[in-house]
Amino acid sequence: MVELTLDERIETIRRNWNERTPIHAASDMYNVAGFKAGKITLTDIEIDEVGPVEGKSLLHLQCHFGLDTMSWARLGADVTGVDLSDASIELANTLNDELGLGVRFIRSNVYDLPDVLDEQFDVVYTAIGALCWLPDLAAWGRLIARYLKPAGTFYMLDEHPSGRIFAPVLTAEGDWDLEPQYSYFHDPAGIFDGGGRETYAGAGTVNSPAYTWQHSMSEIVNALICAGLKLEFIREYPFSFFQALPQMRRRDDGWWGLDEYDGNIPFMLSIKATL
Amino acid sequence: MQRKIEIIRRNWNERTPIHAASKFYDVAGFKAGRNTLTDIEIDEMGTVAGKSLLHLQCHFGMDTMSWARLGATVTGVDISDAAIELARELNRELGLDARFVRSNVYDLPEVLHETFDIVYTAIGALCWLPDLDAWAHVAANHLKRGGMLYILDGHPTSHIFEPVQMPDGGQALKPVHPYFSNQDGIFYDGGGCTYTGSETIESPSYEWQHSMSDIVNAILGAGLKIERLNEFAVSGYRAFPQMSRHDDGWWRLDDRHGTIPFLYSIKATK
Repeated sequence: MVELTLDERIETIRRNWNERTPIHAASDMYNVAGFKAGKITLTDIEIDEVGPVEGKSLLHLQCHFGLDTMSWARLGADVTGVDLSDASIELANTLNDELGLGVRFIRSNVYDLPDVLDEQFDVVYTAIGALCWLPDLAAWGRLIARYLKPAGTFYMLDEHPSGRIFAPVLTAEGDWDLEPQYSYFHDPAGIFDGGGRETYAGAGTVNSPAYTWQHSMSEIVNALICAGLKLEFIREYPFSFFQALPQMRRRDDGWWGLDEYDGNIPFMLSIKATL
Repeated sequence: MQRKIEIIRRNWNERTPIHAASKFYDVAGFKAGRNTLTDIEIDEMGTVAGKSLLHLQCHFGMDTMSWARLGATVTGVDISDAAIELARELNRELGLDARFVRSNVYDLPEVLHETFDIVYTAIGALCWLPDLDAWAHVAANHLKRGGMLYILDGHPTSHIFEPVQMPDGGQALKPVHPYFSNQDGIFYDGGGCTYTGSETIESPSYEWQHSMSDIVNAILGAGLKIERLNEFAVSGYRAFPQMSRHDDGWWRLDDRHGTIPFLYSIKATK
Protein backbone atom coordinates (compact mmCIF):
# COMPACT_ATOMS: atom_id res chain seq x y z
CA MET A 1 0.00 0.00 0.00
CA VAL A 2 1.26 3.48 -0.86
CA GLU A 3 1.73 5.64 2.23
CA LEU A 4 -0.33 8.82 2.02
CA THR A 5 1.04 12.18 3.10
CA LEU A 6 -0.70 13.99 5.94
CA ASP A 7 -2.36 16.37 3.47
CA GLU A 8 -3.63 13.40 1.45
CA ARG A 9 -5.02 11.82 4.61
CA ILE A 10 -6.80 15.02 5.52
CA GLU A 11 -8.27 15.04 1.98
CA THR A 12 -9.36 11.42 2.53
CA ILE A 13 -11.12 12.47 5.73
CA ARG A 14 -12.76 15.39 3.91
CA ARG A 15 -14.22 13.06 1.28
CA ASN A 16 -15.35 10.66 4.00
CA TRP A 17 -17.24 13.43 5.81
CA ASN A 18 -18.71 14.70 2.56
CA GLU A 19 -20.18 11.23 2.10
CA ARG A 20 -21.32 11.03 5.74
CA THR A 21 -23.15 14.35 5.75
CA PRO A 22 -26.38 13.41 3.90
CA ILE A 23 -26.48 10.03 5.71
CA HIS A 24 -26.17 11.73 9.11
CA ALA A 25 -28.63 14.45 8.13
CA ALA A 26 -31.25 11.77 7.43
CA SER A 27 -30.58 9.80 10.65
CA ASP A 28 -32.67 9.56 13.82
CA MET A 29 -29.51 10.26 15.82
CA TYR A 30 -29.10 13.74 14.36
CA ASN A 31 -32.89 14.35 14.22
CA VAL A 32 -32.76 17.43 11.99
CA ALA A 33 -36.56 17.84 12.09
CA GLY A 34 -36.42 18.07 15.89
CA PHE A 35 -33.66 20.64 15.65
CA LYS A 36 -35.67 22.71 13.19
CA ALA A 37 -38.57 22.58 15.64
CA GLY A 38 -36.38 24.25 18.28
CA LYS A 39 -34.46 21.43 20.00
CA ILE A 40 -31.10 22.18 21.67
CA THR A 41 -28.77 19.36 20.65
CA LEU A 42 -26.15 20.04 23.35
CA THR A 43 -25.88 17.62 26.26
CA ASP A 44 -26.59 18.57 29.89
CA ILE A 45 -22.91 18.01 30.61
CA GLU A 46 -21.79 20.61 28.08
CA ILE A 47 -24.40 23.21 29.02
CA ASP A 48 -23.54 22.81 32.71
CA GLU A 49 -19.76 22.76 32.33
CA VAL A 50 -19.41 25.53 29.73
CA GLY A 51 -21.70 27.78 31.78
CA PRO A 52 -23.65 30.80 30.50
CA VAL A 53 -22.68 31.80 26.93
CA GLU A 54 -25.11 34.66 26.39
CA GLY A 55 -23.36 37.56 24.68
CA LYS A 56 -20.12 35.61 24.33
CA SER A 57 -18.29 34.93 21.09
CA LEU A 58 -17.78 31.20 20.54
CA LEU A 59 -15.69 29.32 17.98
CA HIS A 60 -16.77 25.71 17.36
CA LEU A 61 -13.99 23.62 15.82
CA GLN A 62 -14.95 20.52 13.76
CA CYS A 63 -18.63 21.48 13.84
CA HIS A 64 -19.96 18.96 11.24
CA PHE A 65 -23.24 20.43 9.91
CA GLY A 66 -23.62 22.75 12.84
CA LEU A 67 -26.53 21.56 15.01
CA ASP A 68 -24.47 21.99 18.20
CA THR A 69 -23.04 25.27 16.88
CA MET A 70 -26.51 26.67 16.21
CA SER A 71 -27.70 25.36 19.60
CA TRP A 72 -25.11 27.61 21.27
CA ALA A 73 -26.55 30.46 19.16
CA ARG A 74 -30.00 29.60 20.48
CA LEU A 75 -28.52 29.92 23.99
CA GLY A 76 -27.38 33.45 23.14
CA ALA A 77 -23.78 33.06 21.95
CA ASP A 78 -22.35 34.78 18.89
CA VAL A 79 -21.01 31.70 17.10
CA THR A 80 -18.68 30.67 14.31
CA GLY A 81 -18.52 27.04 13.19
CA VAL A 82 -15.66 25.49 11.26
CA ASP A 83 -15.63 22.14 9.50
CA LEU A 84 -13.51 20.27 6.99
CA SER A 85 -16.42 18.99 4.92
CA ASP A 86 -17.90 20.99 2.04
CA ALA A 87 -21.22 19.15 2.27
CA SER A 88 -21.43 19.77 6.02
CA ILE A 89 -20.81 23.50 5.74
CA GLU A 90 -23.27 23.76 2.84
CA LEU A 91 -25.99 22.05 4.91
CA ALA A 92 -25.10 24.14 7.98
CA ASN A 93 -25.52 27.33 5.94
CA THR A 94 -28.87 26.10 4.55
CA LEU A 95 -30.21 25.33 8.04
CA ASN A 96 -28.87 28.61 9.42
CA ASP A 97 -30.58 30.59 6.62
CA GLU A 98 -33.82 28.68 7.05
CA LEU A 99 -33.85 29.20 10.83
CA GLY A 100 -32.45 32.75 10.78
CA LEU A 101 -29.91 32.06 13.54
CA GLY A 102 -27.16 34.43 12.41
CA VAL A 103 -24.34 31.88 12.67
CA ARG A 104 -21.22 32.08 10.50
CA PHE A 105 -19.86 28.84 9.01
CA ILE A 106 -16.40 28.41 7.50
CA ARG A 107 -15.12 25.47 5.50
CA SER A 108 -11.57 24.74 6.57
CA ASN A 109 -9.59 22.01 8.19
CA VAL A 110 -8.45 22.96 11.71
CA TYR A 111 -4.81 23.41 10.79
CA ASP A 112 -5.45 25.80 7.86
CA LEU A 113 -7.91 27.97 9.76
CA PRO A 114 -5.46 30.87 10.31
CA ASP A 115 -5.41 31.33 6.50
CA VAL A 116 -9.10 32.26 6.51
CA LEU A 117 -9.98 33.46 10.02
CA ASP A 118 -8.20 36.17 12.01
CA GLU A 119 -10.19 36.84 15.20
CA GLN A 120 -10.26 35.95 18.86
CA PHE A 121 -13.10 34.44 20.86
CA ASP A 122 -14.36 34.23 24.45
CA VAL A 123 -14.91 30.49 24.08
CA VAL A 124 -13.33 27.85 21.85
CA TYR A 125 -15.39 24.66 21.94
CA THR A 126 -15.11 21.16 20.56
CA ALA A 127 -17.69 18.40 20.89
CA ILE A 128 -17.86 14.64 21.03
CA GLY A 129 -16.08 12.68 18.31
CA ALA A 130 -13.69 15.38 17.14
CA LEU A 131 -10.16 14.63 18.35
CA CYS A 132 -9.81 11.23 16.70
CA TRP A 133 -9.85 12.97 13.29
CA LEU A 134 -6.79 15.09 14.13
CA PRO A 135 -3.29 13.76 13.44
CA ASP A 136 -1.42 16.38 15.49
CA LEU A 137 -2.63 17.68 18.85
CA ALA A 138 0.35 19.96 19.55
CA ALA A 139 -0.59 22.11 16.53
CA TRP A 140 -4.26 21.89 17.58
CA GLY A 141 -3.39 23.21 21.06
CA ARG A 142 -1.46 26.14 19.61
CA LEU A 143 -4.41 26.90 17.34
CA ILE A 144 -6.80 27.02 20.31
CA ALA A 145 -4.48 29.45 22.12
CA ARG A 146 -4.28 31.58 18.95
CA TYR A 147 -8.07 31.91 18.78
CA LEU A 148 -8.74 32.62 22.47
CA LYS A 149 -8.99 36.12 23.89
CA PRO A 150 -6.90 36.69 27.03
CA ALA A 151 -8.63 34.81 29.87
CA GLY A 152 -10.83 33.06 27.28
CA THR A 153 -12.14 29.55 27.92
CA PHE A 154 -11.48 26.33 26.04
CA TYR A 155 -13.93 23.48 26.58
CA MET A 156 -14.06 19.99 25.11
CA LEU A 157 -16.18 16.89 25.63
CA ASP A 158 -14.97 13.82 23.78
CA GLU A 159 -14.32 10.10 23.94
CA HIS A 160 -12.04 8.98 26.79
CA PRO A 161 -8.83 7.36 25.50
CA SER A 162 -9.20 4.51 28.02
CA GLY A 163 -12.62 3.67 26.57
CA ARG A 164 -11.05 3.26 23.14
CA ILE A 165 -8.67 0.40 23.99
CA PHE A 166 -11.43 -2.23 24.20
CA ALA A 167 -12.56 -4.63 21.51
CA PRO A 168 -15.75 -6.65 21.85
CA VAL A 169 -15.02 -10.40 21.86
CA LEU A 170 -17.45 -13.29 21.68
CA THR A 171 -17.17 -15.89 24.43
CA ALA A 172 -17.53 -19.64 23.84
CA GLU A 173 -21.11 -19.30 25.15
CA GLY A 174 -21.89 -16.68 22.52
CA ASP A 175 -21.91 -13.73 24.94
CA TRP A 176 -20.11 -10.46 24.43
CA ASP A 177 -17.04 -9.76 26.50
CA LEU A 178 -14.36 -7.08 26.41
CA GLU A 179 -10.63 -7.25 25.86
CA PRO A 180 -8.02 -4.48 25.86
CA GLN A 181 -6.69 -4.82 22.31
CA TYR A 182 -6.11 -1.33 20.88
CA SER A 183 -3.28 1.01 21.67
CA TYR A 184 -3.87 3.54 24.45
CA PHE A 185 -1.03 5.65 23.13
CA HIS A 186 -0.78 7.79 20.02
CA ASP A 187 0.63 6.32 16.84
CA PRO A 188 1.39 8.99 14.20
CA ALA A 189 0.61 6.42 11.48
CA GLY A 190 -3.04 6.50 12.54
CA ILE A 191 -5.64 3.80 12.11
CA PHE A 192 -6.83 3.14 8.55
CA ASP A 193 -10.48 2.35 7.96
CA GLY A 194 -11.10 0.95 4.48
CA GLY A 195 -14.71 2.10 4.45
CA GLY A 196 -17.84 0.08 3.82
CA ARG A 197 -18.90 0.23 7.47
CA GLU A 198 -22.05 1.55 9.02
CA THR A 199 -21.62 5.06 10.44
CA TYR A 200 -22.07 5.64 14.17
CA ALA A 201 -25.36 7.41 13.49
CA GLY A 202 -26.66 3.97 12.47
CA ALA A 203 -28.37 5.10 9.28
CA GLY A 204 -26.29 3.81 6.39
CA THR A 205 -22.95 2.71 5.07
CA VAL A 206 -20.02 5.03 4.46
CA ASN A 207 -17.96 3.65 1.59
CA SER A 208 -15.06 6.13 1.62
CA PRO A 209 -11.95 5.19 3.55
CA ALA A 210 -10.76 7.26 6.50
CA TYR A 211 -7.97 7.69 9.01
CA THR A 212 -8.36 8.21 12.72
CA TRP A 213 -5.81 8.75 15.48
CA GLN A 214 -5.78 7.71 19.13
CA HIS A 215 -4.76 10.40 21.62
CA SER A 216 -3.88 9.57 25.22
CA MET A 217 -5.06 11.71 28.14
CA SER A 218 -1.53 13.04 28.64
CA GLU A 219 -1.20 13.96 24.97
CA ILE A 220 -4.44 15.97 25.08
CA VAL A 221 -3.56 17.67 28.37
CA ASN A 222 0.02 18.47 27.36
CA ALA A 223 -1.10 19.89 23.99
CA LEU A 224 -3.17 22.45 25.89
CA ILE A 225 -0.60 23.15 28.62
CA CYS A 226 2.27 23.54 26.14
CA ALA A 227 0.18 26.05 24.17
CA GLY A 228 -0.05 28.18 27.33
CA LEU A 229 -3.49 27.18 28.60
CA LYS A 230 -4.13 26.58 32.29
CA LEU A 231 -6.27 23.58 33.30
CA GLU A 232 -9.45 24.34 35.21
CA PHE A 233 -10.73 20.79 35.50
CA ILE A 234 -10.90 17.34 33.94
CA ARG A 235 -14.03 15.21 34.31
CA GLU A 236 -14.57 11.58 33.32
CA TYR A 237 -17.81 9.71 32.65
CA PRO A 238 -18.65 5.98 32.63
CA PHE A 239 -20.99 6.27 29.64
CA SER A 240 -20.83 7.13 25.95
CA PHE A 241 -22.77 9.25 23.46
CA PHE A 242 -23.04 6.34 21.04
CA GLN A 243 -23.04 2.56 21.06
CA ALA A 244 -19.27 2.26 21.24
CA LEU A 245 -19.50 -1.47 22.04
CA PRO A 246 -22.22 -3.97 21.06
CA GLN A 247 -22.99 -4.78 24.72
CA MET A 248 -23.88 -1.14 25.45
CA ARG A 249 -27.47 -0.27 26.15
CA ARG A 250 -29.12 3.11 25.87
CA ARG A 251 -30.04 4.36 29.32
CA ASP A 252 -33.12 6.35 30.26
CA ASP A 253 -31.04 9.56 30.26
CA GLY A 254 -29.99 8.99 26.63
CA TRP A 255 -26.37 7.99 27.31
CA TRP A 256 -25.04 4.56 26.33
CA GLY A 257 -23.70 2.44 29.19
CA LEU A 258 -22.52 -1.05 30.05
CA ASP A 259 -24.53 -3.42 32.27
CA GLU A 260 -21.66 -5.76 33.07
CA TYR A 261 -18.54 -3.75 34.02
CA ASP A 262 -20.61 -0.57 34.53
CA GLY A 263 -18.43 2.06 36.19
CA ASN A 264 -15.20 0.26 35.36
CA ILE A 265 -14.40 2.09 32.14
CA PRO A 266 -14.43 5.83 31.51
CA PHE A 267 -15.97 6.45 28.08
CA MET A 268 -16.03 10.25 27.98
CA LEU A 269 -13.76 13.02 29.08
CA SER A 270 -14.29 16.76 29.44
CA ILE A 271 -11.63 19.41 29.92
CA LYS A 272 -11.96 23.09 30.70
CA ALA A 273 -8.92 25.33 30.43
CA THR A 274 -8.27 29.05 30.26
CA LEU A 275 -5.70 31.17 28.52
CA MET B 1 -11.44 7.33 58.71
CA GLN B 2 -9.01 7.47 61.62
CA ARG B 3 -9.69 3.76 62.20
CA LYS B 4 -8.84 2.92 58.59
CA ILE B 5 -5.61 4.92 58.77
CA GLU B 6 -4.63 2.99 61.93
CA ILE B 7 -5.32 -0.29 60.12
CA ILE B 8 -3.02 0.83 57.30
CA ARG B 9 -0.32 1.81 59.82
CA ARG B 10 -0.38 -1.69 61.35
CA ASN B 11 -0.35 -3.23 57.87
CA TRP B 12 2.80 -1.30 56.91
CA ASN B 13 4.43 -2.11 60.24
CA GLU B 14 4.01 -5.77 59.34
CA ARG B 15 5.19 -5.26 55.77
CA THR B 16 8.40 -3.42 56.67
CA PRO B 17 10.64 -6.32 57.78
CA ILE B 18 9.26 -8.52 54.98
CA HIS B 19 9.99 -5.85 52.37
CA ALA B 20 13.41 -5.12 53.90
CA ALA B 21 14.36 -8.80 53.46
CA SER B 22 13.05 -9.03 49.89
CA LYS B 23 14.99 -9.18 46.65
CA PHE B 24 12.60 -6.54 45.31
CA TYR B 25 13.92 -3.90 47.73
CA ASP B 26 17.51 -5.25 47.70
CA VAL B 27 18.70 -3.39 50.80
CA ALA B 28 22.22 -4.84 50.47
CA GLY B 29 22.51 -3.35 46.98
CA PHE B 30 21.29 -0.02 48.29
CA LYS B 31 23.87 -0.07 51.07
CA ALA B 32 26.53 -0.78 48.45
CA GLY B 33 25.57 2.44 46.65
CA ARG B 34 22.69 1.47 44.35
CA ASN B 35 20.34 4.34 43.45
CA THR B 36 16.77 3.03 43.78
CA LEU B 37 15.11 5.77 41.71
CA THR B 38 13.79 5.01 38.25
CA ASP B 39 15.11 6.59 35.07
CA ILE B 40 11.69 8.26 34.60
CA GLU B 41 11.90 10.06 37.95
CA ILE B 42 15.51 11.10 37.58
CA ASP B 43 14.88 12.43 34.08
CA GLU B 44 11.61 14.23 34.86
CA MET B 45 12.60 15.70 38.22
CA GLY B 46 15.74 17.27 36.80
CA THR B 47 18.65 18.40 38.94
CA VAL B 48 17.98 18.20 42.68
CA ALA B 49 21.44 19.13 43.97
CA GLY B 50 21.17 21.83 46.62
CA LYS B 51 17.35 21.62 46.70
CA SER B 52 15.18 20.80 49.70
CA LEU B 53 12.91 17.82 49.08
CA LEU B 54 9.99 16.41 51.06
CA HIS B 55 9.15 12.78 50.30
CA LEU B 56 5.59 11.89 51.32
CA GLN B 57 4.80 8.21 52.06
CA CYS B 58 8.48 7.27 51.92
CA HIS B 59 8.25 3.70 53.37
CA PHE B 60 11.72 2.87 54.76
CA GLY B 61 13.37 5.62 52.80
CA MET B 62 15.58 4.11 50.08
CA ASP B 63 14.17 6.45 47.41
CA THR B 64 14.40 9.35 49.87
CA MET B 65 18.06 8.59 50.58
CA SER B 66 18.71 8.10 46.86
CA TRP B 67 17.66 11.73 46.34
CA ALA B 68 20.08 12.64 49.16
CA ARG B 69 22.82 10.79 47.31
CA LEU B 70 21.97 12.98 44.28
CA GLY B 71 22.58 16.08 46.37
CA ALA B 72 19.14 17.04 47.71
CA THR B 73 18.49 17.92 51.35
CA VAL B 74 15.73 15.43 52.10
CA THR B 75 12.96 14.82 54.60
CA GLY B 76 11.01 11.56 54.40
CA VAL B 77 7.60 11.03 55.99
CA ASP B 78 5.83 7.74 56.53
CA ILE B 79 2.89 6.42 58.52
CA SER B 80 4.69 3.26 59.68
CA ASP B 81 6.75 3.22 62.90
CA ALA B 82 8.78 0.22 61.73
CA ALA B 83 9.50 1.84 58.36
CA ILE B 84 10.72 5.11 59.90
CA GLU B 85 12.83 3.21 62.46
CA LEU B 86 14.52 1.22 59.67
CA ALA B 87 14.95 4.37 57.53
CA ARG B 88 16.76 6.13 60.41
CA GLU B 89 18.97 3.07 60.98
CA LEU B 90 20.00 2.94 57.31
CA ASN B 91 20.57 6.69 57.26
CA ARG B 92 22.88 6.45 60.30
CA GLU B 93 24.73 3.44 58.96
CA LEU B 94 25.34 5.09 55.58
CA GLY B 95 26.16 8.50 57.02
CA LEU B 96 23.52 10.27 54.94
CA ASP B 97 21.85 13.39 56.31
CA ALA B 98 18.21 12.53 55.55
CA ARG B 99 15.62 13.39 58.18
CA PHE B 100 12.72 11.01 58.79
CA VAL B 101 9.38 11.89 60.38
CA ARG B 102 6.72 9.41 61.45
CA SER B 103 3.33 10.83 60.54
CA ASN B 104 0.42 10.09 58.31
CA VAL B 105 0.12 12.61 55.47
CA TYR B 106 -2.92 14.36 56.88
CA ASP B 107 -1.39 15.07 60.30
CA LEU B 108 1.92 16.29 58.87
CA PRO B 109 1.22 20.05 59.23
CA GLU B 110 1.01 19.44 63.03
CA VAL B 111 4.59 18.13 63.23
CA LEU B 112 6.37 19.77 60.29
CA HIS B 113 6.35 23.53 59.76
CA GLU B 114 8.62 24.01 56.76
CA THR B 115 8.33 24.56 53.05
CA PHE B 116 10.39 22.78 50.40
CA ASP B 117 11.60 23.26 46.83
CA ILE B 118 10.17 19.87 45.91
CA VAL B 119 7.39 17.66 47.29
CA TYR B 120 7.78 14.18 45.84
CA THR B 121 5.76 10.98 45.93
CA ALA B 122 6.72 7.66 44.36
CA ILE B 123 5.00 4.60 42.88
CA GLY B 124 2.34 2.96 45.04
CA ALA B 125 1.49 5.89 47.28
CA LEU B 126 -1.89 7.44 46.42
CA CYS B 127 -3.88 4.19 46.75
CA TRP B 128 -3.31 4.37 50.53
CA LEU B 129 -4.94 7.80 50.80
CA PRO B 130 -8.67 8.16 51.39
CA ASP B 131 -8.85 11.90 50.61
CA LEU B 132 -6.89 13.42 47.72
CA ASP B 133 -8.15 16.97 48.22
CA ALA B 134 -6.68 17.03 51.73
CA TRP B 135 -3.48 15.37 50.44
CA ALA B 136 -3.00 18.03 47.74
CA HIS B 137 -3.51 20.79 50.31
CA VAL B 138 -0.82 19.24 52.54
CA ALA B 139 1.55 19.01 49.55
CA ALA B 140 0.86 22.62 48.53
CA ASN B 141 1.18 23.78 52.14
CA HIS B 142 4.74 22.37 52.29
CA LEU B 143 5.84 23.87 48.95
CA LYS B 144 7.76 27.11 48.58
CA ARG B 145 6.35 29.60 46.06
CA GLY B 146 7.63 28.38 42.69
CA GLY B 147 8.26 24.93 44.18
CA MET B 148 7.34 21.70 42.39
CA LEU B 149 5.08 18.77 43.25
CA TYR B 150 6.15 15.62 41.43
CA ILE B 151 4.24 12.31 41.41
CA LEU B 152 4.98 9.03 39.71
CA ASP B 153 2.32 6.40 40.46
CA GLY B 154 0.18 3.56 39.15
CA HIS B 155 -2.24 4.60 36.41
CA PRO B 156 -5.92 4.34 37.43
CA THR B 157 -6.79 2.64 34.12
CA SER B 158 -4.41 -0.24 34.91
CA HIS B 159 -6.22 -0.81 38.22
CA ILE B 160 -9.48 -1.88 36.57
CA PHE B 161 -8.08 -5.15 35.20
CA GLU B 162 -7.94 -8.62 36.65
CA PRO B 163 -6.19 -11.53 34.94
CA VAL B 164 -8.57 -14.36 34.05
CA GLN B 165 -7.60 -17.90 33.08
CA MET B 166 -9.25 -18.81 29.76
CA PRO B 167 -10.53 -22.33 28.90
CA ASP B 168 -7.86 -22.57 26.18
CA GLY B 169 -5.15 -22.03 28.79
CA GLY B 170 -4.46 -18.43 27.78
CA GLN B 171 -4.66 -15.43 30.07
CA ALA B 172 -7.16 -12.64 29.45
CA LEU B 173 -7.51 -9.28 31.19
CA LYS B 174 -11.02 -8.29 32.24
CA PRO B 175 -12.16 -4.82 33.39
CA VAL B 176 -13.72 -6.05 36.65
CA HIS B 177 -12.76 -3.22 39.06
CA PRO B 178 -14.27 0.29 39.21
CA TYR B 179 -12.32 3.07 37.53
CA PHE B 180 -13.99 5.77 39.56
CA SER B 181 -13.13 6.78 43.12
CA ASN B 182 -15.00 5.19 46.00
CA GLN B 183 -14.93 7.09 49.29
CA ASP B 184 -15.23 3.97 51.45
CA GLY B 185 -12.21 2.32 49.90
CA ILE B 186 -11.68 -1.37 49.24
CA PHE B 187 -11.14 -3.61 52.27
CA TYR B 188 -8.55 -6.40 52.09
CA ASP B 189 -8.80 -8.82 54.98
CA GLY B 190 -5.15 -9.89 54.96
CA GLY B 191 -3.54 -13.23 54.20
CA GLY B 192 -2.56 -12.10 50.68
CA CYS B 193 0.87 -11.79 49.13
CA THR B 194 2.72 -8.51 49.22
CA TYR B 195 3.89 -7.07 45.90
CA THR B 196 7.53 -7.91 46.59
CA GLY B 197 7.01 -11.64 46.29
CA SER B 198 5.27 -14.60 47.86
CA GLU B 199 5.39 -13.58 51.53
CA THR B 200 2.01 -13.24 53.23
CA ILE B 201 0.77 -10.11 55.02
CA GLU B 202 -1.68 -11.14 57.74
CA SER B 203 -2.96 -7.64 58.67
CA PRO B 204 -5.97 -6.28 56.85
CA SER B 205 -5.83 -3.04 54.90
CA TYR B 206 -7.79 -0.51 52.92
CA GLU B 207 -6.98 0.90 49.52
CA TRP B 208 -8.62 3.61 47.49
CA GLN B 209 -8.93 3.93 43.72
CA HIS B 210 -8.50 7.49 42.42
CA SER B 211 -9.50 8.39 38.87
CA MET B 212 -7.19 10.57 36.80
CA SER B 213 -9.67 13.44 36.96
CA ASP B 214 -9.83 13.24 40.77
CA ILE B 215 -6.02 13.31 40.99
CA VAL B 216 -5.72 16.24 38.57
CA ASN B 217 -8.62 18.18 40.12
CA ALA B 218 -7.24 17.70 43.65
CA ILE B 219 -3.93 19.24 42.56
CA LEU B 220 -5.67 22.12 40.76
CA GLY B 221 -7.96 22.62 43.76
CA ALA B 222 -4.95 23.15 46.02
CA GLY B 223 -3.95 26.10 43.81
CA LEU B 224 -1.12 24.35 41.96
CA LYS B 225 -0.55 24.70 38.22
CA ILE B 226 -0.12 21.47 36.28
CA GLU B 227 2.96 21.72 34.07
CA ARG B 228 3.02 18.21 32.61
CA LEU B 229 1.09 14.93 32.66
CA ASN B 230 2.84 11.89 31.24
CA GLU B 231 1.70 8.26 30.86
CA PHE B 232 3.77 5.13 30.45
CA ALA B 233 3.10 1.62 29.11
CA VAL B 234 5.45 0.04 31.67
CA SER B 235 4.96 -1.02 35.29
CA GLY B 236 7.29 -1.00 38.28
CA TYR B 237 6.13 -4.45 39.38
CA ARG B 238 4.47 -7.54 37.98
CA ALA B 239 0.90 -6.25 37.95
CA PHE B 240 -0.32 -9.27 35.91
CA PRO B 241 1.08 -12.78 35.43
CA GLN B 242 1.45 -12.20 31.68
CA MET B 243 3.99 -9.41 32.25
CA SER B 244 7.73 -9.89 31.91
CA ARG B 245 10.64 -7.88 33.21
CA HIS B 246 12.83 -6.29 30.56
CA ASP B 247 16.52 -5.36 30.67
CA ASP B 248 15.62 -1.77 31.64
CA GLY B 249 13.99 -3.09 34.85
CA TRP B 250 10.41 -2.21 33.80
CA TRP B 251 7.62 -4.78 33.49
CA ARG B 252 5.73 -4.98 30.19
CA LEU B 253 2.62 -6.72 28.86
CA ASP B 254 4.36 -8.47 26.01
CA ASP B 255 1.37 -9.74 24.05
CA ARG B 256 -0.42 -6.38 24.12
CA HIS B 257 2.18 -3.79 24.97
CA GLY B 258 0.81 -0.25 24.74
CA THR B 259 -2.85 -1.12 25.25
CA ILE B 260 -2.80 -0.21 28.95
CA PRO B 261 -1.08 2.73 30.64
CA PHE B 262 0.52 1.43 33.87
CA LEU B 263 2.15 4.60 35.20
CA TYR B 264 1.55 8.31 35.06
CA SER B 265 3.58 11.25 36.26
CA ILE B 266 2.48 14.78 37.10
CA LYS B 267 4.58 17.87 37.55
CA ALA B 268 2.84 20.86 39.14
CA THR B 269 4.13 24.14 40.50
CA LYS B 270 3.00 26.53 43.23
